[in-house]
This record gives sequence, C-alpha cells and structure tokens, in this order.
Amino acid sequence: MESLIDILPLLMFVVLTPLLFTGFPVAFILGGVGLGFWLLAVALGLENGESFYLVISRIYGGVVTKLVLVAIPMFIFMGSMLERSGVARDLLNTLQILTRRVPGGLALSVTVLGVIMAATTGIIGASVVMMTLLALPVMLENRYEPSLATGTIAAAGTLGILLPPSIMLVVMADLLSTSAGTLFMAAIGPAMLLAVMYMAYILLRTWLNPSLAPPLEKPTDETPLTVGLIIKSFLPPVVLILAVLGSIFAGFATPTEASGIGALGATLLALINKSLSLKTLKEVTEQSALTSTMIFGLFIGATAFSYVFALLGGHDLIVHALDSMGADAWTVLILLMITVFLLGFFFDWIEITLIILPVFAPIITALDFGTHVPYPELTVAWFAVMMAVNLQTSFLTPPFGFALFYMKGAAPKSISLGSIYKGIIPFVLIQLLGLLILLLWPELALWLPAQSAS
Amino acid sequence: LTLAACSQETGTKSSVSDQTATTEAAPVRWRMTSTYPSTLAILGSMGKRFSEEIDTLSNGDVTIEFFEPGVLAPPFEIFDAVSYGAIEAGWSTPGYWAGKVPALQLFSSVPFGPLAPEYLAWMDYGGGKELFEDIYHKHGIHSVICGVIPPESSGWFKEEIHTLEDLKGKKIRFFGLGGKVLEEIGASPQLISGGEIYQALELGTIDGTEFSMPAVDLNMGFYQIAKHYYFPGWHQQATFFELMINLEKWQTLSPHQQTLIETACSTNVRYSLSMGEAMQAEAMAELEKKGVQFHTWSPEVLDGLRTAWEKVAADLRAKDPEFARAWDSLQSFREKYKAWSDRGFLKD
Amino acid sequence: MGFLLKFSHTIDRFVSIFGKAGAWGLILMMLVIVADVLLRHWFVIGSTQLQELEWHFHGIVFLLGLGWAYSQNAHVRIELVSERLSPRAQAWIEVFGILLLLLPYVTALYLFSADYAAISLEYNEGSASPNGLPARYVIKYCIVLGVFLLGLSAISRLFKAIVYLFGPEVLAAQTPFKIAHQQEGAS
Ligand code: NA
Ligand code: NA
Repeated sequence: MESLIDILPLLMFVVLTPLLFTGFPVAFILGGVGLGFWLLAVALGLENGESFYLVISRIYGGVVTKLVLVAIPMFIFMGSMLERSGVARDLLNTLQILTRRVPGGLALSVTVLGVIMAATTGIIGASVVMMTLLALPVMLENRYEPSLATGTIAAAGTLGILLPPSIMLVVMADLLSTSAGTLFMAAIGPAMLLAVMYMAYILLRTWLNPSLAPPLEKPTDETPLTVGLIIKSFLPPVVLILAVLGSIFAGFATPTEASGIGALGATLLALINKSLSLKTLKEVTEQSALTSTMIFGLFIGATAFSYVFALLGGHDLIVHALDSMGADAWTVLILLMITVFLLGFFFDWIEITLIILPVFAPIITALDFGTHVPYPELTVAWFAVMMAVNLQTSFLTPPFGFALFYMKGAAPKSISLGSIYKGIIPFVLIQLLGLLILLLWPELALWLPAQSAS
Repeated sequence: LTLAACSQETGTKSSVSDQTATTEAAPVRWRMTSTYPSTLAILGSMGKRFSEEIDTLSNGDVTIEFFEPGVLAPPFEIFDAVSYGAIEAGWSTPGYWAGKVPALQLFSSVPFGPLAPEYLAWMDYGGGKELFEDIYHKHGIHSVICGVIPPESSGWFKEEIHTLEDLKGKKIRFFGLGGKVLEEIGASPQLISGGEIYQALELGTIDGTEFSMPAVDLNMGFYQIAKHYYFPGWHQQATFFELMINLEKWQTLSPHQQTLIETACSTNVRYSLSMGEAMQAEAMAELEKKGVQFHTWSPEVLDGLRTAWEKVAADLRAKDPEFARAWDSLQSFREKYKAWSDRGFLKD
Repeated sequence: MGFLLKFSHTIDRFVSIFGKAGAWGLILMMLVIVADVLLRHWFVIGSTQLQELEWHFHGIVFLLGLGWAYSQNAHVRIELVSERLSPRAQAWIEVFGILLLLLPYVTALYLFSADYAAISLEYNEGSASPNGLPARYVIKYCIVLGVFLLGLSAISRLFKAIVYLFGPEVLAAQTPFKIAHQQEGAS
C-alpha cells in the first residue's frame, strides 16, 4: 500500500498514455485523469475534499489573467486574416517563384519567418498556429512532403521561446537569481545557430531528394515574375511586419500589445485588398476563437493534470531520483540535461523548470567548469541557455509536444498527427546536436553578454 | 493601559479561537504555497527558512512544507486557497489581497509609513495585531506576521528626475498604493507582466520601474538599461510578510503547536530584518561598479508625493470602513509614537 | 431516439450562441489593445483598466467557446490509433470518454468554480491594483458559465453517440460519427 502511494504520480502517466491514443480529445483526457487520481487520493485519505478547488485558481490565475497569453488569440486572428485575404498566399507564392532554384525554398522562407515571429512573442502557441495557418496550406499545395512541412513550421515556431522577449528566460532568471537581460543576450547566439541548422538540414534533404519539396515545374507562364508582382505581393506583409516589429522596437508597444497591432494591421490589409466583408470578418473571428479555445482547453486540462501530479508528490519523486548524483560539475550538468530532455516527453517547460530549478539552483550556481567556460561569472547563463534549448525541445518531442498539438489543431484535416510526429524527429535530433555544440563551445552563448558587460 | 484597552476591544474574537484549540493535537503535516520562489532573497528565502525552522523547533511534530509559486497555487491565489481550505497554509504579503480586503494593504506596507521597529511596535503593542487577526478571521484565515524587510528602493529611471514635474507623463511600472499615488501626480503607472519589464524598459515602452531592495534588484539586471536608481523608497519603508493558515486548521492545533508557529515566525522576523539590513550595502557597491548612479529624491519631490498620498489615503478611508478603522489605529499610534521618536533618536 | 437527436441539436444551437458571441471578444480585445497603446503614447493616460480589460476579453473568448469548440470538434485528438477503428468503436470510445472522463471532470470544475465565483461576489472583489477594474466576479462567473456550456456539449455529443449506436439507420446517418465515416470513405 505504502509503495503504491509512492508511485501514484507515475501511475498517472501509465494510465494517461494509452488513453491519449483512444482519440478522445486530449484536453479532456488530461483533466479526467487528473480528477480521477485526485478522487483516488481523497478515497485513500491522502487528500482533503477541497483541494481540487486549486484547479480553478490555476485556470483563473494561470490562464485567464495572464496578460502575455493575449498574444495567442491575437496572432491567431492575424494569421487567419492574412490567410483569408490572400495576402499570405501572394507572398509565399512569390517567394516560391523567387527561390525556385533553391531546393526547399519555401521551407527556408518559413524558417526565416519563424525567426521574425520569435522577436514578437515568446508564446509558442501564437507563433506555431500563426505559421501553420499561413504557410502550411501553401506548402501542401506546392506538394511539399507533409512531414517536412510540418516539422519545419513546428521547429521554427518554437524559436520564439529562446529569442527575447521570452517569458521562459525570465522565469529561469528569477529561479536562478541571475539577470534576465544577460540570459536574453546569451540566448541569441544559440537560437541563430539552431535556425541555421534547420536551414542546412532543409537544403541537404531537398537537394538529396528534390521530390520532398518539388520546384515549380512551369514557372507559371500566366504570371511572369515582374518587379510589379514582387512589390505587390511583398509590400503588404512587409509593411505589416514592420508595423509589428517597429511598434515594439520603437518602444511604442510591448510585444503582447504588438500582437493586437498586428491583428488590426492584417484586418486593414484585407480591407485594402478588398477581401474584407462582414461575412469574412465573422468567419475569421469564429475560426480564430475556435483555435484559441482549442489551445486554452489544452492549457486547462494540462494544469489540472500537473496540479494533481504535484499534489501526489510527483516532484519529490523526480528530485529524489536525481539526488544520488555526484558533485562533479560535468556529471551534474549532463545528468540534469538528460533528465530535462526525458521529462520533456511528458511535461511542459513550466512544470520542468519548477521541478528542477528551485531544488538544484544552489548546486547549479556553484558549478565550476574551470577553463572550459571562458567567462566564469557567466556559467549560470550558459547553463540556463542550455536548459532553455532543452526546454524548447520539449515542445517538439512526442507524445506530449504541445507545439505538435497546436499545429494539429490549426492544420488542414488531411494532416495526421502521425505525419506531424514523423516530421519532427529530424528536428529533435538537430536540437540535440545544437545542445552538444553549445556544451562544447560555451562562447556561442556567452560572447554576446560578455561584450555588453565590459 | 492603552494597550490593554486595545486588546480588550478588538481581541475578543481571537481569544475565542484560542480557547477552542484542543490541548492534545496530532502531529501536523501541512503544505504552504508561496507567492515568491525560495531562491528570491528574503522575500522567498524566508518562507523556506520558516519551513525548516518549524521542523527543527517542533522536532518534527509540526512540518509545513514549502511549495514554490505555481506548483500548487498561482502566486496571487493564495488567499482564496487558504480561506477555502484547499491548502493549509500560504506564504505571502497581506497587500496582495487588496482586491478582496482593501484594509489589508495597511498591514503590508504604507507609503510614507513607519520603519520596521515602529511598524512592529504598532502590530505587537499598538492594536495592529488584534485588528489584523480580526479582519482575517472573518475570512476563515489566521495570519501570523512572519517576516519584515527594510526599505525598498524607489525604482529605476532611464532619465534623471529632478522635480515632480519631471515625473508627470512618465510611464512607470508600479503596483499597489504607490501606483495610485503616481497616478494622482500625473504619472502613468503601467501593468506590465514580469517577463516584459526588462524589454519594455530597454525599448522605452516604460520610462521607469519599481522593484525591490538593491540586493534583489541587482539580479533583475535593470542596471544594464536604466542607470538612475532612486532612494528612498517612499512607497515601502518596511514590508511585512505573512504566514497564512486556514482558520479551522489553526484551531485544531494545541496551544503548544500554536506557540511553536508563533515562535518560528518571531525568529523569522528577526532574521529577515537583520539579513535585509546586512546585504544591501554590498549590492549597492556592486551596482555602483556597474555604473549605476544613486539619487536621493529632493524634499520637494517627497513633499509632493506625500501630499498626493494623503489624498489617496483619505479617499480610501472614506470608501471602506474597515480600511478607516485600520488607518485610524495606525495613525493614532504614529502620532503618539512621535513624542518618542522626535526625541529618542540621534539626528545627523 | 428522434427526441434525443433533436434535443442534442437544440443544445448545440444554444451553446453556439455563447461561443459565437464570445468570439467577438477578439475584435474588442484588438480595439482595446490599440486604444491602450495610442492613449499611452500620445495622451499618457493611466491604462491599468484597459490592460485588465484585455485579459478579460481573452478569458471570455475561450471560456465561452469551450462547449462550442467541442460541438464543432475543434479540440485536438490523437487519432493515430483510433482512425483505424470502426466508426462504432469510435462512438463507443466517445461514450466512455464522456461518461468516465469528461462529465466527471466538468462536474468537478463546475462545483468548484461556482464556489470560487460566489466567494468573489460575496467580497465584491475588485482589482488588486487600486487603479484597476472593479467586479472581478464577472470574469470568474464566466468560468462557471463556460464549464456549464462544456457540460451541455458533452451531453449533446453523448446523445448523438447513443443515437448512432442504438438508433435507427435514418437517425444514425445524421450524427457526426456516421458523417465523418462517409467523408473519409469518399476522400
Ligand atoms: Na521571443
Ligand atoms: Na514533449
């Protein structure tokens, strides 16, 4: 009995995993399993009959009142509006024509778009859904292999959590008692490295196997590529991107607010494009509301599940398992990295940072790697950025990669979760390679903050 | 005499609850959810310290496990959670519950309010504690003052502020009563989420931000952007931290267990104050090395802010009878205390 | 059976009214954000209230949409294994999922959120910031309403599954279980 109680948190996953594959909505399975285990704990006398109340506190305090989450519905609206008004399509088609000699040109463009989006939000749900709405239909139309298309979008869409602004880096800075500004700068190098590695992979794959991303057969005789066409298709989205980025960098708006400016901008573009009617507005609004609800339904289910997991002592269970590790800096570092990666299969970044950082922060801040770290005072920043890359990966690792769920919710019905899972594998491997490079060359992260400190 | 009268007047409710405490109580295994992470100096670390202290003091008879913010309850949901009995205890500061009980703001920190010794004097011997418990008991919570910190800084600005006029039109991230004062003088207090403060400051979306004491602010990295650091923190000369306990749970404790908790909180108050006083100078030296310029508000600016605060306080007093009761108690204590503080302490 | 299906459609219509009304919160959210940015920049008007209004709309959109999204089948499913099952098996999964997972979950959320909102109303709770919005119970009651609508949607879908599994062919053909199968067969 005693031992059953100890492993209850693990049993939650034993029950959850097969249920997920029944095809019942993920959000409800998470919530239902969380409730079931809570009831079990109450029946066993481990829990009082009131503690499920905190799930409501978590919905209100962790989802409803979170101002940064406003970026999710706004960017989804912006994406839907651009898609409906044909602005995105014009741009991507022109890009496809422009880059027709480059293998996987569209996928490369999507990666660049991911980096741009990353500067405007740190909220994965917002960037992944927006890019899925914008780019996936066009990529599929151009007969891109679905798994390459979805993998590219999901991976590029998660870069936002690495590049500033990033709520994740701020939370980590808080827990590690280090400067958020330093972490922001330390994350730029690794994020760029990852973007370059995604692009290198896309180039390599499509060069070896052009059928994955077929080039345009007929360079569209009807619409020859003219300067006029380029301007016509580039101008509206470029103006919009400048408005969003510009409002942030001119100190006009916070990144969250910039999402609202983007949404309004996209609506005005549609108006100018003469593709905005009350009917379109209604459709875009309703579709965006449904997609947002899908994301927040998942948030709510996940918060119920992870609350009960913590209530049953799940965090302690993981921490105890890690407790036996040696004190050698390299052992600690590598064991923690492996643990974070493995936890990433099932947990989101908030849960992982809350399990790992408060307990291990004193150990982490005391780590000494001798001459391996060129700026010893920035060792914590190096660790934090490696952890950040690792946590970014957790969005991508099946079965519980939230980026993959968001994408499934926004993608055309023809895209199966199977092909999304398949498409993400090479990108997860790239993430691991990036992590290894970062482990071997700390300068990659630390050079920039070191410059600004001196 | 006055003290006795005070406790007779307001202490009835708490003494009733003390009587209902059972004499033989089972060992206590409670959870305490925190507003601040344990890694945050004093604000959070003192919560963790309390949890360890009570375990040692009670020889394991009373264990109150510290939970990081968000693991069980989000940081600003503790009042509801403890009041409802969903969780036994919470670690926070009373001012956060202003939306439900405005009077509690006066038990957290008061603009142009007392320093820690005077504040503690009011709480322990000036009727503050009785009022505090009275207010909380109505909401099913027993709260114990379990930490106090020295003054906070007044905040970070990108440009120098010379006059009250300079503050007008400035967008400043600020929260609570101090934010209301800023609004009163024509500045614009902003609600910017933690993750976006740094960038908002960097890009000029806001012109300044308030945060905490130098030792805490150092870690936020604001010095990389805003070089002007202002003192004194008129909005927070001393801040109380509290251990909130579900009232029914508190009443099931034996008098011995209750005393253990109060004792552990008393040592916590002592160490939060000594630690808070001890660690600022070093942090300030570090900030100075990073090129931060320290400024002291001119008497004119402080006078202007004080006048604005008096108006804000009068408005709040008129709006809420409970706030009025607590405010009047604090003010009358302070007026009497003045006879002592004017003469008792050395002045430069 | 015909009654069940009719009742189910009535629920769907009722739930969609709230979901679609809530969706307009997106437009309002957008306008409030832009207004906030402009007012701050040019008029330096304290905007804590507007900023709080932003997340109020955000909450309204997805809370009121929870049930509607289920009736529109917008909540994500992992169909990796289940898509190979027969439509009958899928309908059975839906029945068990609703009875064993969703309805208990929604019931618990409803009971606790009703308490949660009632406490806020009792306090006449306002913003924790003295320059924020009053009446926090409004958005807290949106949680109660949203969860209630999700419960209705669950019942509606349960009825559809029952009709599909046990009802006459004519009625079964009108349920999404049958329709989804036909569409798959066609494509
Ligand atoms: Na970002
Ligand atoms: Na994952």
